[in-house]
Amino acid sequence: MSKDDVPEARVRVAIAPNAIDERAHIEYVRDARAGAISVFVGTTRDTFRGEKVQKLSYECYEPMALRELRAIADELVVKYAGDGDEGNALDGRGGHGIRAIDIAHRVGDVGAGETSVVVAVASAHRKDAQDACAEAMEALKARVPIWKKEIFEGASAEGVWKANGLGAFAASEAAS
Amino acid sequence: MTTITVLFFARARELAETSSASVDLDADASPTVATARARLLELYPQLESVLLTAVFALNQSYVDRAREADTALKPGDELAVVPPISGG
Repeated sequence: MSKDDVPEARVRVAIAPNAIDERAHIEYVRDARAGAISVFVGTTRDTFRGEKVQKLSYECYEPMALRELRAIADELVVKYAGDGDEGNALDGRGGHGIRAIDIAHRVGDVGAGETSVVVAVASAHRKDAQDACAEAMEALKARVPIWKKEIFEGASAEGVWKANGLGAFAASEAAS
Repeated sequence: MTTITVLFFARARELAETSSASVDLDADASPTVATARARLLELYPQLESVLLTAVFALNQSYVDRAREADTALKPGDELAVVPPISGG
């Protein structure tokens, strides 16, 4: 495989200790060679089973989290590199694939309703960006070592660690 | 002696009351991730429930639960206890 065969795409990942500015991530992936930007913004819910959530407290294994985020982004760039068939845009892909991808996840205390994660993907045509954006979130929830604890308002102030239950942490795996 | 660094996160960190520890394993016994799992249970019995659902990461790569007994440890390795994750 020559260097020219490696898909050319800008990739950025981050663990963010402060508030996420969604617009900055959209601007990072914006690309004159792209006809689409797909964005996912994850926000924190204010209730869990009727209990009022005051905030979510996130922590991560930072070097590994960054490594996993980078691996997810790189894998998607390869998966959605496009087949080079510019003549076929009816499939919503048009052959050229992902131009840029940016993923950032918050850590620390995140108030209810705030942004905890953002994924932005730019691609030549819409489908690659939309598919990669959705798949990035599935992979993040299954693989990236990040934990969140729900802190409730009032009496039960101790909080509860959440579990996504995906990938190696799915119920059938954990039971073995 | 094979000395490794163990990292604790989330519920494991709270129960262990520390985020990292140096753990000595008997080098003559060719220590593996399974050895470390058993040793952690001795050192931190309060981790029993969290270890049931935790996966290990060796030098920042996940170790398949079925491969723990085949995954050798060497001095200086970083072994993280990864309780069920909840990013997003």
